[in-house]
Amino acid sequence: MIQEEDKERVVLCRLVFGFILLCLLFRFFLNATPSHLLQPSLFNLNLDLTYWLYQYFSIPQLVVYSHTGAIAFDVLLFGFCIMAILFPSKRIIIIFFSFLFLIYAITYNTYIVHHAHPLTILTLITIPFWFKKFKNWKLMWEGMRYYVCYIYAMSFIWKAVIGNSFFYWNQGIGSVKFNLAEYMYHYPGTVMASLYAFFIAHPYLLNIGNTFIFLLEGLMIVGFFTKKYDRILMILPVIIHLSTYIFADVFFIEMLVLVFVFFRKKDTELIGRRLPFILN
Amino acid sequence: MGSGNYFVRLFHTNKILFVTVVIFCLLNLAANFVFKAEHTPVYNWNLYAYKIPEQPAYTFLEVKYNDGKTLTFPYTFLEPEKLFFTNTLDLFIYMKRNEGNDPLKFYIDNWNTNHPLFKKLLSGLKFYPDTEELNKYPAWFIKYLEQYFKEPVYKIDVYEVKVAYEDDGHVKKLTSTLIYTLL
Repeated sequence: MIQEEDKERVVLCRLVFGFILLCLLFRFFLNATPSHLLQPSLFNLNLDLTYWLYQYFSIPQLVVYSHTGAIAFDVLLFGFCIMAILFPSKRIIIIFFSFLFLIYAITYNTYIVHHAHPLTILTLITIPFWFKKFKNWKLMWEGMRYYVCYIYAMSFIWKAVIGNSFFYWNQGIGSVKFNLAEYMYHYPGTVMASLYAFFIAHPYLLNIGNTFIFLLEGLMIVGFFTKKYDRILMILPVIIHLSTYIFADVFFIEMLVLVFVFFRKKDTELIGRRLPFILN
Repeated sequence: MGSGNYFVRLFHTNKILFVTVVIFCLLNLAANFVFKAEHTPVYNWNLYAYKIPEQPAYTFLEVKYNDGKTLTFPYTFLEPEKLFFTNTLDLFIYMKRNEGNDPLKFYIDNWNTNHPLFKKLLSGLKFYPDTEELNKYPAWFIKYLEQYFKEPVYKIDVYEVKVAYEDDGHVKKLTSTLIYTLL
């Protein structure tokens, strides 16, 4: 029987791990989990000490270069994710899954020879569920909410202060042309190609849209000062990542797991009432 | 301020957690504002932070296999699999054109020279791929391609395609040059 105060944690835990399970299944069918990698040769550790340790301790030998090891790793990854959904109060399962998922994220980035962030965020969001005491969990979950606001605010600061792309008016058209040249070449007759061509022929629309998206990232800083606008802050990452999906040909949809940090207690209560099995 | 209250509450609830969270925050700020470098799980959030000027022409690699069929990815959601093809092939061609040297070789070698402790502690670690991995790459690419198409592959050519945008927003091909035959 789930304690009354624990219901919020259970609902969020099952939503987060359910989302992660869907992402993993999606990646499994796209041949992007270790059992499908077929012992790739090229790799990229970059200048990341964690990746250096990953290589130093020969983890790839176990989860990538051993066929049996790769299959066993996939089974463990999926198995622990499912167990985390079934037994949200068993912290040891969640902790173990977090480390498995971190290894998967590092493996994926190492062998696509590019260090992308969405998967590692999925690891970070599991950390609050390591904590047994409700008040510790609650504080870590709240911390995660601030971290999400920080991610987008920092992204804006990079563009406006450090990298300066925010003040470069032609960033929108430059980005779209760069990212979609290959698609436009291979699929010239599609509806999407016609849409892109229209926007490329009217670059001011892309530049306005690009500036708007950058500003939405900057708006996330509001979350540091008040929770009053969490309903809006929840929608901003959806708009940001959908627009980059369409206009920059990048797949950051997995980062939308971060939307759950803006759920209020009454949201989880509503989900618990509408979907009673989530609290069984 | 909300975050101020948060840290005060965290301090009063669990001091170990408080210290851990504060260190994590400081590391993040230092990584982004001072060092401009990332070490998992501390990240730089700098995607699209730098200017992307328009170019007169855009170049990319095109893979043709068997009887001239082209390896393409019609949907963005295929990216998790696509990157295994496109990113690794870009790196392979780069290394082929640069005497088998990884683009990070000189940077990492230089870093290791300036940080001898790390080099000593991690002695034996292969920091970047070299000719050994380069030579194995075509065989892996063929296997991965066969897995993707679920059919045997008996020929693979890599072309370098150069395109330019026209006034109506569509692209036209400028050149297409065969640069490598993997199989």
